[in-house]
Amino acid sequence: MNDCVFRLSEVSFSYKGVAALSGVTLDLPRGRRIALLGANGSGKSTLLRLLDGLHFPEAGRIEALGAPLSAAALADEATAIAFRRRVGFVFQNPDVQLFCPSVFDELAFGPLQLHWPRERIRGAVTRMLDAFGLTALANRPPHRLSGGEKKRVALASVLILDPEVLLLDEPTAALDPQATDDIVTRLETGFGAQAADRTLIFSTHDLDVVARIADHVVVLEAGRVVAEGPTASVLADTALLRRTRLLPAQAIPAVG
Amino acid sequence: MGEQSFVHSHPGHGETDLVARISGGIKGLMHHADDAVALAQGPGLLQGLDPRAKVAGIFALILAAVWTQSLVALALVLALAVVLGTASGIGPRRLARQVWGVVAAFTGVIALPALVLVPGEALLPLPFGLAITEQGLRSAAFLTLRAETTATLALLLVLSTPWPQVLKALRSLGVPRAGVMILGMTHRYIFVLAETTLDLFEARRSRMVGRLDARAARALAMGIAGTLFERSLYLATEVHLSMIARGYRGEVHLLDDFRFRARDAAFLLALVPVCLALVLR
Ligand SMILES: Nc1ncnc2c1ncn2[C@@H]1O[C@H](COP(=O)(O)OP(=O)(O)O)[C@@H](O)[C@H]1O
Ligand SMILES: [Mg+2]
Repeated sequence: MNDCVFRLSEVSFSYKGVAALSGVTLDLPRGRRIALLGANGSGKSTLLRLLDGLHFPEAGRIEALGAPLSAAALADEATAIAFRRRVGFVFQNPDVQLFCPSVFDELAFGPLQLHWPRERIRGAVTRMLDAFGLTALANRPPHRLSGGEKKRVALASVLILDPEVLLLDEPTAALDPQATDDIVTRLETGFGAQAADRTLIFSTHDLDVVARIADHVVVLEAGRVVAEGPTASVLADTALLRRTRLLPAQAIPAVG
Repeated sequence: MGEQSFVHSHPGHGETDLVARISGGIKGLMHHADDAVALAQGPGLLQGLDPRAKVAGIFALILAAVWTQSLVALALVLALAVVLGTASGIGPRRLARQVWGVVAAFTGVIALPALVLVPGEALLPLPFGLAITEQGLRSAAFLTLRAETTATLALLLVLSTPWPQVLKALRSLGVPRAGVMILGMTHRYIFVLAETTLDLFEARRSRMVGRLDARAARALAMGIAGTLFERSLYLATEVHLSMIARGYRGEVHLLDDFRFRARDAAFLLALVPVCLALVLR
C-alpha cells in the first residue's frame, strides 16, 4: 500500500514499565475514516499520541505522511510546524485542551502558533464560530462551558487549521445523547466529506459511533492489533467483539 | 457571594465545617478567576497600558520595595499601589479581601516570634524574661509591610492583564522560553485542579454517612492532598501536550500586537524617580 498517512512497524510503548502497546504493525490508508476500537485500557489513546508525535516509540518505527516521525525530526522548527499544520489532534478531555481566556482566543491559538497572517486568522475564527454555533459564546471563558459546548470548541479549535489528518480520542465520551449526535453528525457530514484525501482516525468503544462514522476498523486488545477490516465485517464478528469486551458476555444481537 | 450555599455546611459542627470551608474557598477562587477575566478586559489606568511597560514598571517597583531600608518609603509604595489599583477598578476593599488578610496571616506566623526573638532594647517586658524589642518590632514591621506591598503589586498586574499577555510580555522582556512555558502551564492547570479538588471533596462527602469527626475530616483532607499531587503532575503534562499538538513551541503568539504609546512612556518615566528614591535612600 503506497498511499498511507501512517505506517507503523513493530511499535512498542510502555509507561514506566507498564506495557501499553506491543509490536504494533499497521498501515493507515489515506482518505479513510478509521476507528480504533477497543475496551478501556487497550491502548487507543497511547496509539493516537504516538501518531501525533506527542510520545515516541520505545521500539519500532513510525512513518507519518511519508517521512519518519521521531523526536529528532520534530525538533526541527519547520518540520514541526508543517506536521502540526497537517495533523490535528482532539484530546479526550477538553479541559486540558482549552486554556485560553475566551472561546475566540481558543480558536485563534493554533493558527497563531503556526504564523498565519492576523487578518486571515480573524476571518477564519469568525467563520468557524458560525459553523459550530459558537458565535454567542465567543467571549466566554471556555472552561466555564457545558461538556458538549467544550467538546465543540475543542473540535473547532483543531479543525480551524484545516488538517489533512484528524485524530480524535473518544470524541463522544461523557457526552449526553444530543451532544453525541451533534458531534457525530459533524464528523459524518463535515470533516472530509467534501475532500477525498482527508483522513479521520478516532478511538472509541462505542459500536454505534463506529457504525455511523467509520469505513475501516482496527481492533485493539491489551496493546495489540487483533483484527482489522471494513466496518461491516468487523461489526458482524460478534465472537471477536465479545472476546475483546466490546459486547456484553451474554449473547445479545450486535448493533449496527 | 453565595458560594457557601453550594456545599452543605453543618453549623455548629466545627470539623465538618473544615471540609465545607475548603470547598467554599475553592469556589471562591474560581469566582475570582472569572472576575479577573472581566477586570482585565475592562477600562482602567493599568488596563490601558502596554503590557510590557506594565510588567517592567511593576517589577521595578517590586524590586525597589524589596531593596529599600526605609519603612516610610515602603508605606509610600503601598500607598502608590493602592492609588494605581483604585484608578484601575481594583479598590482597597478588593485588595484587603484578596491580599492583605491572607498575607498578614502567613507572614504573621514568622513576624510575631521576631518581635521577641530579635535581640535589642526592650520596649515592652513580657513574662518569662522575654520582651518585645525595638529591633524586633522594626523587623516584624518590615517583613509584613514588604510582603503586603509586593503581593499587592503582583495582584495589580495579574488582575489588570489577561494572562496570555503577561506571558507574551515576559517573553518580549527577555525571560527565557522555558520559564514562560512553566508559568503558562501552572496558571491554567491550577483551575482544572481546583475543580478536581472540589469534585473529590464532594465525591468523598457523598459517600460518607453522618458527620465527620475531627480525625475523619483530617484523614479525608490528607487523602485528597495525595490524590491531588498525582493529578496535578498528570494535568500539567496533559495541558502541555495539548499545547504542543496545536503548534506551541514555547513562544506565545497572540492576536493583538503590543503598542507602546505616550502614556506607557509617561508611566515608566513617573516610576523612575520613585524607584531611585527608594533604592538610593
Ligand atoms: N500516563 C500513564 N501512566 C501509566 N500508565 C498509563 C498511562 N496512560 C495509560 N496507561 C496504561 O496504558 C495502557 C493503555 O492505556 P490507554 O492507551 O489510555 O488505553 P485506552 O485509551 O484504550 O483506554 C493501560 O493499561 C493504562 O493503564
Ligand atoms: Mg483512552
